[in-house]
Amino acid sequence: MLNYIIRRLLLIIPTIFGLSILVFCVLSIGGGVAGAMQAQTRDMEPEQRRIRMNYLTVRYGLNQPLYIQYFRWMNQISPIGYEVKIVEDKPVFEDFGFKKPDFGNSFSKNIPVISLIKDALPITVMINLISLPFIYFIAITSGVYMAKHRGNWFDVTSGSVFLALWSVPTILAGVLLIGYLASKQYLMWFPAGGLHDTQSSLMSFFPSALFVKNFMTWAFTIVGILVAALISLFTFIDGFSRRRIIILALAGACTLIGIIMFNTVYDPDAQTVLDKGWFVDSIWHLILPIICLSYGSFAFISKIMRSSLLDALSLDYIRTARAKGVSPKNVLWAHGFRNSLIPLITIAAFFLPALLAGSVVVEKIFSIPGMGTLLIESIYAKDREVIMAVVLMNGVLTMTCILIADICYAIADPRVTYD
Amino acid sequence: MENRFTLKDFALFILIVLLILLVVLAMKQYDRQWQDLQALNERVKQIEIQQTRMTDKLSVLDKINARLQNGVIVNNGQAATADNDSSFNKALHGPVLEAQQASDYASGDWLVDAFPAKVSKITPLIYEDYYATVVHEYVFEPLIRPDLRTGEIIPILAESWTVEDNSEDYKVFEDQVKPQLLNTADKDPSVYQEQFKRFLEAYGDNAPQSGSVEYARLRNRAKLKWVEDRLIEHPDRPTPVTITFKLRPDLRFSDGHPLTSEDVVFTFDFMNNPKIDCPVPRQFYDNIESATANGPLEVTFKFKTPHYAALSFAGWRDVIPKHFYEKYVGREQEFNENPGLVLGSGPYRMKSPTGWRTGEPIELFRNERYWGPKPAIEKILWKQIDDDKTRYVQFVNGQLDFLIATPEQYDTAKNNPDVASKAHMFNFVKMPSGYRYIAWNQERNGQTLFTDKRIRQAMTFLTPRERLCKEVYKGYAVPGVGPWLQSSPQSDPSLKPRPYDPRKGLEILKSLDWIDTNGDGILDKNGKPFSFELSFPANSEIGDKTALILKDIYAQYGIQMKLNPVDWLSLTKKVENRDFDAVFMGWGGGAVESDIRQMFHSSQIGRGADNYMSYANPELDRLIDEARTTINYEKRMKLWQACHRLLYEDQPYTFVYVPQRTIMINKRFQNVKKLKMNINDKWEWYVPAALQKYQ
Repeated sequence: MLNYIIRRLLLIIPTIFGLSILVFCVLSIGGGVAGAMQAQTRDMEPEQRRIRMNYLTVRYGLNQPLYIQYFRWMNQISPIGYEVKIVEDKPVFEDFGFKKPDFGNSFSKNIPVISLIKDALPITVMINLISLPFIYFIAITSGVYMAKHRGNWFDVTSGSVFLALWSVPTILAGVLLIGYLASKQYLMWFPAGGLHDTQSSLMSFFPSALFVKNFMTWAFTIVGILVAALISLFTFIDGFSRRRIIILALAGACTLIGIIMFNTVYDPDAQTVLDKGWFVDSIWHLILPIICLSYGSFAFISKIMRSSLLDALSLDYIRTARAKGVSPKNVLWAHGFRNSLIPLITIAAFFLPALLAGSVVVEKIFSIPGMGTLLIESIYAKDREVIMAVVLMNGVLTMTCILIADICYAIADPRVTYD
Repeated sequence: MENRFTLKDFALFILIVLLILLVVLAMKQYDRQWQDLQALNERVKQIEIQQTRMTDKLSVLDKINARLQNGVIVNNGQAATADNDSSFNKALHGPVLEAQQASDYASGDWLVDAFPAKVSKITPLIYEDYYATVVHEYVFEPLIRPDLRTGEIIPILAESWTVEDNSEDYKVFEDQVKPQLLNTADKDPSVYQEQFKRFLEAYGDNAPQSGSVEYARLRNRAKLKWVEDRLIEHPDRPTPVTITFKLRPDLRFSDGHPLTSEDVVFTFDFMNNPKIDCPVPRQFYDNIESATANGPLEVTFKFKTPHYAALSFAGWRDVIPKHFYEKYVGREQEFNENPGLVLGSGPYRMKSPTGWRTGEPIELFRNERYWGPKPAIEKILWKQIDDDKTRYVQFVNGQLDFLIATPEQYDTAKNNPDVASKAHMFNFVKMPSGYRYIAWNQERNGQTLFTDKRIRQAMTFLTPRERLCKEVYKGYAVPGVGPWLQSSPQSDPSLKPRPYDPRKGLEILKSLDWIDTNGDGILDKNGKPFSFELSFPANSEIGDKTALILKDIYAQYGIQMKLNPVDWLSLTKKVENRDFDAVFMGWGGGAVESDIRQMFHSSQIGRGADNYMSYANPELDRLIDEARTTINYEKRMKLWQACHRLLYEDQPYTFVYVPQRTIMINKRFQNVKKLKMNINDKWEWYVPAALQKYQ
C-alpha cells in the first residue's frame, strides 16, 4: 500500500509539469501584455497607456522568448532557484540557492497572488463546507428511501423531479432566483447578492430579542402548517397510522402557538434592518447561493445512490442475509448500503477540488468574492500569474483527491488491494 | 424496556435547557452592550462636530486678535462677514452653500454605490485600477481642477496662480542649439548608440532586423531622443515655463494637520522617489523639472520644455500630506505593499487612514474637520458586485443608490414607470469621453486601398453612424466628429459629422474609377475588387453588432468587407505589426484637454507607438508640435482646431461614435444636477430628513 502511495505521489510531478506547460502556452498565444491592460487603462490617456505597457513588458519579461518566460515562472515557484529583486522597475537576478517559493505578482492588480488567494479561499471553503453536508444528507436519505421503496409514488415523482432539477443550468436558476425571490418587483425575501448587508458593520453579532420573537412566530406557524399539509398528503395516499396522528396533533399545536404569538409578542413595525444581527444576516445572504450550488449535485448524487443501492440489494448475498433472518434494517444499512458507496466516493474525489476552486457561475451571479470570481476575473484580464497559481493549486488538489479516493476504495471494499 | 428515562438523562436534559437559557441571556446582554456602544459612537460623533465648530470659531478669534494687535477697528460688521466668507472657496463650495439654503435640506444618510470588480489598492500613486481614482476624488484635493459647470480651470486648494510663459525665449534657444546637436548626431552616430540599444532591448526577441524600414525608423527615434535629452541638459537653457501657486491659508487635512506648500512639494518628491512603485506617473510628469516652496503658502513649478498642459500637470494632482507619508521614505517596500494608505484633505475620509485591506468594502465617512462647508451625506460606501444584472436588480430594490446602467438596462428602466419614477435618469456625453473608431491602414505590405484620403472620406460617407448609434447603443451614443468631443474647445465648432450620404460616397469612388465593370455586384478597378477585412475585438457585443451592420451596408454599395473577429491579445499584436486593412477599436478619454500626438503624428509610426495606420501629414505634424509647446490658451485652441480641420479632411480614422453615460440615481437624493461636463459632485447632494434611509 505504502509503495503504491509513493508511486502515485511521484507520478503527480510530471502531470503537474505538463499541465503548467499547457496552460502557460495557451495563455501566451497572442502574447504580450495587452490583456492585462484592459481593466486598468479605462480612462487612461494613450500616452499613459503606452508607458504602462512598456513598464509591464520589462517588469515581467514579456518580451523574452516563451521558454525563458516559462523558466522564470518555474524559478519563481520553486523553493530552489535565483532570488529576484526589482531594481528601478527592472528585475535583477541574484545568487542561486534556497529561497521562498512565490506565486508572483498579479499583472492587473500588482499585489502578490498569494494575498489574493488568501482573501478568496476562506469564502469559497466556507460556502462549500456548508453546502457539502447538505448535498450528501439529502442525496443519501432520499436515495436510500427511493431504493427501499422502489416503484412507489415517492420514487416515481422524486425521480422525475430530480432529473428535471439536474437538467436546469445553474446560470438560469440563479438569475431566476434573483429575479423572483430577491427583486422588489416580485418577492423580496432574500438579498440579491454579496455576503453581508450594506449596514452589516453597524449590526450586533447575535439577533436582537425582538427579531427572535418575530422569527419564532413565523417559524411556528409555517412549520406547523407545512408539516400538517405534508402528513395529510401522505395519509391521503397510503392511509392512517398512529404515528401520523401524533405528528398531526403536534403540528396543530405548533400552529396554535404561532397564532397565539401573533396576537401577543409579534411586532413587525418595531423591527429594523439592524435587529437581524450579523450572524443571521450572513446566513440570509448564503441561502440562495447554497441552493444554487447544491440542487444539481444532490439530484445527481441521489440518483446514483439509488441505482447503486438497488444493484447491491439485488445481489445473492443480500438474499442469503435475508434468508438467514438478518433484520431488514441491518440488511439495508450494513450489507447493502456499505457496498453501494463506491460510486459516491469517486464523485466525492472530484467534489473536494471543487471545494477550493469555487463555482465560477454561482459566485459571479451572487457577487461572492471567492476563488471562482478570482479565476474568472483574471481570465478576463489575462492575468497570467493568478491563473497559473490557481491552476497549479487545483491540479495538485485534484491529483491528491483522486489518490485519496483510491485509498478510500480499499477501506470501503475489502476486496480492493493495491499490493 | 432498555431505554428507560433515568436520572442521568434528566440531568442531561436540565443541563441542555440551562445552556439554551444561558445563550439567550448572553444574547440579551450582548444586545444591550451593543446599544450602549452605538449610543457612545453617536455621542463621540457629536463631540467631533462640536470640536470642529470650536476650532473654526477659535481661528476667527485668532484673526480678530491679530487685527486688534494691528490696531484695526473690529466693530465693523461688514469686515467680519467678509472675513468669514473667505474661508470658503466660492467656485467649489458655492453650490454646497446654496443647497444648504433649501427648505428641506438635512444632513445625514448614506450613498451606496458599487464597483464591478475587486479593487486591489487605493493607496495613492501605486493604485492599479480606475476605481481607486473614483475614491480619491472624495478624499484628496488638487490645487486646481476644471469646473464641472464651465469646463474652465478653478482653484481648489490654490487661491490664485501665475504662469510665467518664457516659451518664446526657449524656442529661440532651441532653434539655435538643435541644428548643432542634430549635426553632431549625424556626423557621429555612435553618440546615440546607447539610446538605440535601449530601444532595441525593449523589443526583446522581436527586434527589427538591420536594414529594414522599421530599423531605420527606430534609429531615427533614438537620434531625436538623444537630441531632446541633450537639450534638457544644456546649461544655457532658459526655463520655458514657471508656474507659481498661492495656497489658501486655512487648509487642513482630515487629521487636523495644516496643509502647506511643503505638502505640495512633497507630493512631487515622493512620486519621483525611484523606489516607489509608480512608473507611469513618474514618466508622465517627467517634464516637471522642479517644485519648490517659497514660504508656507507659495509653490513654484519649473518645467523642462514648454508643454501645453503645464498648468494641469503642476496643479491637477492630488496633494498628499507630508507628515503622514514621510515615514515611508526609507521604508518604500512597506508603502508599495500596503493597499490602503489614504489620508487627504477632501470632504470625506477613510475610517482609518491605514486600516483598509483588499476585499473589504470601501467606506468613506464625512470629514468633520473639512476646511470648507461639510457635505450632507454622511457616508459613501462601495460594494463589489460583478454581475451587471445583479447590480440592476439591487438598484431597483433600493439596495444601490447609484448605477451606471448598460444601454439596454437604461432603456428598459425608462420604459418602466415603476422604476423610472423612483430614479433620477441621466443620459449625456461625459466630458472627457472616449470614442470608437475605424482606423484605415494606409500601408500594408504595399497594399494601398486606403492611402488616398478621398477613399477614406467616401468610406465615412458610406458609414451610417446615426443608425449604428440607434441599433448598437439604443440611441445612447452620438456620432464622432474627431478626436475630441464636439463641445470641447479643442474642436472646431463649425465642423459637423459627415452625414450618411451614400450617393456622395459612391460619386467619389466613381471619380476614382471604382466601378462595377463585370457585373458581380462588387466595385472593381484594374480587375481588382474593392474588398477589405475589418478586424475587431471578438466576444464584444458592440464590436459584433457594429461589424455586422457595416458589412450589410457596405455590401449594398458594392464594397466587400470581410469580418475578422480576433481576441484582444491577437488584435493588439496584429495592430502592432500593421497586419490589418481596417480595425474597429476605441480610446478612453482621460484628460480634459487631450493630446493627439500619440495617434496621428508621423513620428509615432513604428512598433511600440500608436500611429499604426502609418498616417503622415507634415502640416499636421507641424501643428501638433506647435500646439504642444504653446502655453497661451487661446492660441493653442486655435492650433488644435486647425489640427481638427486637417483630421476631418484626411479621415485617418472614421470616428464612429462616442457612447453616452447612462446613469440612474435614487430619487431620494436632492440637488442632483447634470452639468456641462458631468453630474454634479456628490458633496452637493442631500436627502430630506423624511426620506433618509440609513442612520
